Amino acid sequence: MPVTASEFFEFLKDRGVGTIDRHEITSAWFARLRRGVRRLALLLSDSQDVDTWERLRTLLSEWLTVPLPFEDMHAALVTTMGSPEAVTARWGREVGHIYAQTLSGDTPMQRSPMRECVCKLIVDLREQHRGFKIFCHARARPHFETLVLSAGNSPLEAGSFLHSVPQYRDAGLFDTLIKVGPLRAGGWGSAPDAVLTAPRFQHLAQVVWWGCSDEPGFGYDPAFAPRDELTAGIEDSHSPTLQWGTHHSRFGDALPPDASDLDELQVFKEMEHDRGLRPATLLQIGSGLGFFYPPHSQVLSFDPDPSEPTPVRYRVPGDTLLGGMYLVRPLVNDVDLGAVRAEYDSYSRTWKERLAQAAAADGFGLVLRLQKDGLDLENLYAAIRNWRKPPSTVIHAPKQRKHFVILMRALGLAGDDEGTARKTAPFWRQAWNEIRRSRGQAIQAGVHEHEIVDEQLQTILKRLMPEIRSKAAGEQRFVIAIPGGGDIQGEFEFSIVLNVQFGFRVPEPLLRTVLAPEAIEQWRA
Amino acid sequence: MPCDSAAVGLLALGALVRDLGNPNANDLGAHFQALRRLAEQYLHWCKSCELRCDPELKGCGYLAEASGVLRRDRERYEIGTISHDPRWGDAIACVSKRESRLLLKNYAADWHIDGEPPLHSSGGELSLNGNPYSRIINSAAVVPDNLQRSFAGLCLATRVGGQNATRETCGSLRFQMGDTEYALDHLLSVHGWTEQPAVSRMTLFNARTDRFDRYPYAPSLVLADGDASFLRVLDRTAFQRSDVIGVVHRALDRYHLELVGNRMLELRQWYSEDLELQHKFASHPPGIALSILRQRAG
Repeated sequence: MPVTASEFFEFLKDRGVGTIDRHEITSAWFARLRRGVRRLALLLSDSQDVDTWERLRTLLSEWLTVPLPFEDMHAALVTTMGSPEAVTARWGREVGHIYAQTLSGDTPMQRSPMRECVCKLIVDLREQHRGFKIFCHARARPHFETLVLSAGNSPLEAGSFLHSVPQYRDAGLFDTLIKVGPLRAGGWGSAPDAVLTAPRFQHLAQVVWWGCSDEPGFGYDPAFAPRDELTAGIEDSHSPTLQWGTHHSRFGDALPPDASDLDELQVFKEMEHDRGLRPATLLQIGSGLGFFYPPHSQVLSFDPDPSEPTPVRYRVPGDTLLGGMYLVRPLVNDVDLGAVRAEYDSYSRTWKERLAQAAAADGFGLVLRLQKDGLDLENLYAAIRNWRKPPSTVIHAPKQRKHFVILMRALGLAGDDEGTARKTAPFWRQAWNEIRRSRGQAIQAGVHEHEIVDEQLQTILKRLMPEIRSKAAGEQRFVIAIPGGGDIQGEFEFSIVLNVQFGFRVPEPLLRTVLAPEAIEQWRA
Repeated sequence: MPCDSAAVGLLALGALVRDLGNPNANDLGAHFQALRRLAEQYLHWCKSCELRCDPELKGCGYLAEASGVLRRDRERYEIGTISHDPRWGDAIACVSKRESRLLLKNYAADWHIDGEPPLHSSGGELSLNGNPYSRIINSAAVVPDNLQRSFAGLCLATRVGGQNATRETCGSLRFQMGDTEYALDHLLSVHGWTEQPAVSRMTLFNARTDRFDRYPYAPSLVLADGDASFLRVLDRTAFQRSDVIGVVHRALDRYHLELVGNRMLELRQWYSEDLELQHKFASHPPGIALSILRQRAG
């Protein structure tokens, strides 16, 4: 039963001052491991080995935001880097030495104090019958489940976890939110700003490794952007009246004297900005798979809402492309190039010149004639403008052969090979083959997203609309073959968009490619 | 707002009740001119347009298609011609299956555009029930004639998820008055949100489809439901002269919060904070933040 707005406001009114119990965890063993990996990552950041740097960054970010067992950390590092000898051979003696030092000493037998602290929190909350939820990434969930089970407690209920902003928004009211790691709006261990500005709970139990700071500006409020000169310094009588009191405590063993309080998450964030990574938006589809797109990309998509007048069109992820719509991916696997290979651009120049002359002399008459002859495009004026454009990667021309023939007839170019010396085939056929060839080249070159998809595939999709609607009524992912007989062969893949996530920075080559969950997570900014 | 709510509906209701007390808040005065503009658009552009309506592509300067179909007493008429006669001024000739009629300025109130709410309820059967409005806001002084007249001065911009999302949220809020219950979505009198056709004093802008529920116009106040809807309204030419109220949920990811925050920051080039008005709302519930911008003088 969702909480009504009235209940929510009553809760906030009665809540008074919320409390943040910040438990800082210390461990000499982890401090040594953390320092070693940090040094390795910083050294490798200057090398050409971006991949290893990324993996070390991911490892350390995960360790700082997820309650992992110590043995898992040790094993993950060895898996990532290999033996000390191999490291020395690959990156030199300095890196090899630091790596050997980092691995020196056995994995401690005791449990991670981070896990102990979280476990104790959960046990105490259960004993006191206080409702709680854990905000974490979905992949971190098993580590919470195992820490409770390994201490002999009953398992955590599915409803104890929140993994996303929508889940947080729909969560009811409860007593305590457990959060491992610093409060950050993006990247590893991120949480919604609403945790502080719209709390659904009384207490925030935050468990962090020593040295990890909350992101400055967390709890962002769009209504309170920096003030202008005229209003700066004026008291905000209208500001939100939510108040927080923070209690600090420390849990764990004594730190070594050389322990550094450097905040790796902050350091990595600053380094990312210098690495040429591009901001990206994630479209998550089923099975945890996803696609990254640059912000404000136009993505071909299908909206199953019957009231949508243009169900298939390009949309901007998160703006007009929303969860519940379908991502449409044209998978073109073959293009019939035709047997006759005309010299590129030789025919198009002739008929485009003739078209320009005809449009300039009597554009309206030309449109009427084409319509009368059966060229029944809805946007004929715009189409003619497009066809007159000089060839680029493709020759702009009617999409269908019959339309092209009508156009050639209207221009007086259908029967003969005017302007050329060839007599073997009528002009229109030679010109059409030239167009087909140019389209094939464009598709082969990967330009179809801009030119062909825009024109031909959208037309095909419109024709397929009844079948698309029928399949979308019952399936989250389906494939529809492109009907035979046309220039393009292949299929359309439709995948329902589960959600749209922001706050990623990715290398250019990963944009618009399907990625597994593991590959996605490491690119959280 | 810290939670999901029908706040935008309540704000819209407040504005609607305010306008019910304004004897000039109706579309009667400008109705004939609006029909004439529609007829001109239809006859000179839309009727012969070869495009499926796409004003941007066509470059015709209009915002949406004019269908050219009018209604009078539920009878369907198609616009034929526009003429002028010294005796009665401009007239629009309209043709139905049974007859031809001249649409004259003095009788324009009997006509409305097909698919839109009637301009007024001559017999009273299409009028709004004023009782809930005057009981919800005790100080409301409802002008009785306004209950029988449509008004396009207020606009509700729906959530980007579509009008059903906004309607459902508004519909979940109900006012109990004696034995009768009034749902907020019905009280807003949006055309098509009630079972029975009635006059409408709230136009709708569907932020999902980018479409209005009636012939485009410039409302004096737009109420936007959600961050995306708010941003869309701010960017739309049709709303450039309107006051805008946006209700934004706090539980958004940082990217979307910053889109709103940055837009507000941009607006501060031309607008400054209206602290005086903000202080009037100083006692709002906890968790709500309010930012009011007023156009800079000069």
